[in-house]
Amino acid sequence: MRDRFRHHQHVFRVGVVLGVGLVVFLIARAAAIPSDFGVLGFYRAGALDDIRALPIVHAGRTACLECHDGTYDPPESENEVSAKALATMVPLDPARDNKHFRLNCEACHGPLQKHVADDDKELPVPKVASASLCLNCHGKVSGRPKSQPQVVPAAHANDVGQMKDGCVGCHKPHWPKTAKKAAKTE
Amino acid sequence: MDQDRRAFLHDTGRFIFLTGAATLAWDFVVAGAPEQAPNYVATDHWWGMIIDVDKCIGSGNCVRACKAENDVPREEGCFRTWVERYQVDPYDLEHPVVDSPVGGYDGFPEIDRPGDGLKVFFVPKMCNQCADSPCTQVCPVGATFKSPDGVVLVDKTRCLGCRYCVQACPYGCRYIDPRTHTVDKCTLCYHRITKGLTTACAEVCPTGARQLADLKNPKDPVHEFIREHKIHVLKPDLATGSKVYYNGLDGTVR
Repeated sequence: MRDRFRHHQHVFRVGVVLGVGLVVFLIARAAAIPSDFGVLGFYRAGALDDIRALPIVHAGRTACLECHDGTYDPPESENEVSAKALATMVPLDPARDNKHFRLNCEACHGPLQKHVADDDKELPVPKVASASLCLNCHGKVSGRPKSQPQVVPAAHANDVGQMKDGCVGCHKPHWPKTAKKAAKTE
Repeated sequence: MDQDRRAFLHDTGRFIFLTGAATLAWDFVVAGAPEQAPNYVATDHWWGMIIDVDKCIGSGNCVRACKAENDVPREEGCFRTWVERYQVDPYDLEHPVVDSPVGGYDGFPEIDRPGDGLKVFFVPKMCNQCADSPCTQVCPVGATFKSPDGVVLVDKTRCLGCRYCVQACPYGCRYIDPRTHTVDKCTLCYHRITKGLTTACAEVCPTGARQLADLKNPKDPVHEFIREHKIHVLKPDLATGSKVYYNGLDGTVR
């Protein structure tokens, strides 16, 4: 029996090694895990603030309308809406008569937070009147619901037989209904 | 005491007329930026999204806006949201043909298939912000998690890039950012919705097919919408607790 405990020093050494290992592990663990880890769950609570602090790119319609209210109002004369046609159509209500009324600005103009944040307004709002932009929504594409007005550009033309200046020659983006069509529906 | 009479009356007046939180927020409201108000309480919200499939016209606006808002690389497979087009043959409902060229970023081409019996429609896809998300359960380092307001987020500083969560997500909503080699996914525009804005995809959707929903807010129109419509989620059999509610979702959609 006494022989068994003759080498107790070996046990002691193993214990020291394990103890040092444990201390090293605890120190390394404390250094590796952020202090706010586990406060809200198995994650770093500060990550929420990090993600919230990411930059905003799209300003949102409310910000646009602070300066550009009235963009969707009825055209006065430039949209080929003759005075006579206007007279028969009044009162025009943008929410009712303007199908683009519910379109948010950045749907066509692209992200504009930089423009909103720029006090001097050196960054202009890009004009976007290309036909390809219109066709993103109004091109004839399989799968598009029937309720969505769609055109095949080659087949869609005015009386002259061809489109002038692309789509915006007839349809003003902020009031797309043409005078002729508008008068017909009234 | 370096406070003059004017400042004293101003501050006292504010405290008398406004509640505590409103007092804190008042400076931001005056500055015209109520969304910056510091009184966002995460536990007061439970975010989700409504997607009205019938309204989707496949414009790709959401895909482009999401990439711009969240700095998502244009590389293959990197999408936080994308639009799929289903082509269903009425004789073979089980095997729809699905196309999604560049996730719908550049729109969709006209289909040139003989016969006119196909049923064709668009389905926008995104992270389903699952209440019981499979992806967060498998992360070994706590780099992905569900926030107190119900949004599944990624802590990029902790992610090792082990891709376990990419495999765990049944909806294929995660990708590896080729620049950082860490995982990334839809945050439901957490940096926007916590400041009173809607998500970028919902902001630019031309038909209102996407609506941000706060399920804990009794005044949110989401409750009325859910009552009045036939709502479905993707893969309900997996019991992920998806919070992206689809209206008009066809049974062939996977």
